[in-house]
Amino acid sequence: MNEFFHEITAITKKEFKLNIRFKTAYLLNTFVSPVLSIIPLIIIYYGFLHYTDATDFGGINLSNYIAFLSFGIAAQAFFHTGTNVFAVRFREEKYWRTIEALFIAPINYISLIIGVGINVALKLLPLLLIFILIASAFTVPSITQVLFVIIILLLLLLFCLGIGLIYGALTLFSENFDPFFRYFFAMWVLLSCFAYPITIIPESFRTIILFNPVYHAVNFARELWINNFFDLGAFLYVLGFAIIMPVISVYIFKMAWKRMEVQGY
Amino acid sequence: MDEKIIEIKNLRKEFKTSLNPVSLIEFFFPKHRTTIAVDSLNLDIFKGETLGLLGPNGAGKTTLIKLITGILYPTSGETKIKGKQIEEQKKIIGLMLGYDMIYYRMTGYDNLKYFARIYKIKDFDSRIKELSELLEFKDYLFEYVENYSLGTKSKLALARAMIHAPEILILDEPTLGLDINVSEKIRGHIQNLGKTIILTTHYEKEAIELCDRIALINNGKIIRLEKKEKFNELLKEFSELGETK
Repeated sequence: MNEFFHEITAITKKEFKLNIRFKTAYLLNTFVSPVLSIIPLIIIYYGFLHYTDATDFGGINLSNYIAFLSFGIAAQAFFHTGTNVFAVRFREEKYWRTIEALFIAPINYISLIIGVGINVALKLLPLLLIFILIASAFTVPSITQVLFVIIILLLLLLFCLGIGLIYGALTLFSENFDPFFRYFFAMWVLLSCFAYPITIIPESFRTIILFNPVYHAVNFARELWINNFFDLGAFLYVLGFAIIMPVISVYIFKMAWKRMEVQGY
Repeated sequence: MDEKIIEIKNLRKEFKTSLNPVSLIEFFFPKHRTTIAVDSLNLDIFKGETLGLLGPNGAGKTTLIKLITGILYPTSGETKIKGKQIEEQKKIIGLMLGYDMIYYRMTGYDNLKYFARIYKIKDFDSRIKELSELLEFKDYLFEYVENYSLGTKSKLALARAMIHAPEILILDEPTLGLDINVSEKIRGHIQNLGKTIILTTHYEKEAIELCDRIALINNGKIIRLEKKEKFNELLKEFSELGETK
């Protein structure tokens, strides 16, 4: 257990140090970009709800749209970072010729996910706190609400890191996989309802969305914050995926490594 | 000197590479070529010896090293380290691939600390100090590696490979591209390590100075394996391969 902890802290610190090599870019990309991305949505929703006859849009109204968007955009940042972090890092390490060091290192690859995950979480948590503060300006939350919103987004991150490791592994061995994953993630974003309610999606697609753990994570946070409803089913569903996906991804990573060669460098 | 530490049996590695397309049809349906990088190779390596893998460019030396260390999986055959699979013996192997496998965007100290922790070295600070003094780069420890000279990068890469005091040290072209003085120093350090060492090189001088045995490799096969007494004959054969440096 102690060794596992050492691996995780080593990986977390290494990732952090690599990230802050260019500090200004790191800080701007981490904090400013997501906050900027919410502003157009707030303008659109405010205009729509204020200047038209629509007072309620799929459960969104003038009193809760800020909270609705805050958790949507925060979750999207977790999703985007989690799914992309390994692909970006592995490709860099491929060209830096450091990926071999990872291959020969006596590490448990679950610690790779957790180590990278902690680094991503440390990067994203301040951003989440910013969004929580924004949302709190409109709805004063309880400590339980804040705590479980953070927990569900961390579980979402763990799930996304699992997906990200599969993406990272396959694109490491062949970059031909890259566009297919990006199209897949674009579809996934559409079906996760980060910036709109599920009710605007055609009914035939809603069934797919209801299988989507990302949607359930976002919806759990919103329901808890806006309606003070703890959706236990959704919580357990996301928790299950957050546990299973890293294990599956490590298995796929090892299989890909055995069957494919790192190409293109 | 007689205890086998690495056993390589019938090791073979094929690479399938796609050829450059010369027509639109080939762009969508590329032709492939199979290259045999290592061909049914058998080799025993003994505890405490320094074995040189000598051969021209593209002979299969680096591929063989990658197979021994588990970076690549073989098409067929197997490698056992102290009678076990590579996955179980990662901790006893140290690998240096030229001046690669170090993070240029971190300091030398952070590099060594990271790998020390990955290899579960408890007193890593004193180990880092010891290695940086031994390999003479302690003045640069807290600078970014991107600012290092090629020689200092090589020393750091060697220190990285040695950080966990491995029983087996595998060095791929450790002095490639370095000036004579730095090469001499690195060779001096390697000579005094007293470990089982596998060394690839295409410098004759390096092979003669450092190795107890040399395997001459060409086209993925060992074409000659000799002890010190017959190095001259082996090197003559190497010269005839036309790649002597």
